[in-house]
Amino acid sequence: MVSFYILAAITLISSLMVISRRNPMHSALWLLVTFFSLAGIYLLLSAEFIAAVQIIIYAGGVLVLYIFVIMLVDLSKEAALRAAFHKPAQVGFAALFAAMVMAVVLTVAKRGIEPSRIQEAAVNAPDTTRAFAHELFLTYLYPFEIASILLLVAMIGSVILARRGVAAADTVREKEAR
Amino acid sequence: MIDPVHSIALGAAMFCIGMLGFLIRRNLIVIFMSIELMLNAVNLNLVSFAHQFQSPHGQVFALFVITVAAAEAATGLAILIALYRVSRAVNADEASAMKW
Repeated sequence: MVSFYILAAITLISSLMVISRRNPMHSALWLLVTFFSLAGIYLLLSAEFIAAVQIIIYAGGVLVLYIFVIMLVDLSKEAALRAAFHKPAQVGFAALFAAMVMAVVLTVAKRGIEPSRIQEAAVNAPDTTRAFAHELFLTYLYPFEIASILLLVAMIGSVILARRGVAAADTVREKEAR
Repeated sequence: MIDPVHSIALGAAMFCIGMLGFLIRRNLIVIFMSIELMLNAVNLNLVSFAHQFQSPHGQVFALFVITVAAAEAATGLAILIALYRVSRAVNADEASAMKW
């Protein structure tokens, strides 16, 4: 229980740091802290496989992608770093909106969950990874395959989007020739 | 056992932080990071419900959410690079060519 609260505090503080740092690279590194503490919370919730996937895919894959893009995009302009946020009035309105959403969700979470169902949860946890694999490869086999097609489509799409266009490449080559 | 209300409250707080970041930041990369925060909050809720009801369905859906998040990050960052190549813009409000 105590470890859950420590990890929850780390998660909240680091995610606040993600949105409040002016330099995107600092945000990316704080996002790494968020991902690792979330993986710890998944372990406490007896989701070992999801915790491993969280570290391998998010911390190992997605975050490296972010850092690569931050390094590709030139952020050295001081003006871009200084004006990292919208106008104060817009920030205040967004904070008010987020607080309202938070209040609604907390009210629903307090009242909406039936206490009987909370008591009902089994004490002896089964092998969750085995049960997870069973569900994933039997019940959710077709969604699993569709997810792999989604990843293929995203891969092709991002390669085509980020590739230098044929026309643009020609103009660059002409400039270099001159 | 972790009180499910606490983990749901943590997920809600993370989601609101992500939403706040999405609304207040100008840099597109940080906006994508805020989307990742929101997707992670949803994952936390799914996993905590899976733990609550001792059912692996929530974990399966968390895996699908991770897949979609990876695809979204790859495509979004490719669009960001294309945008940067065309207009040298890294802020969301600088990309206004299609604005009416």
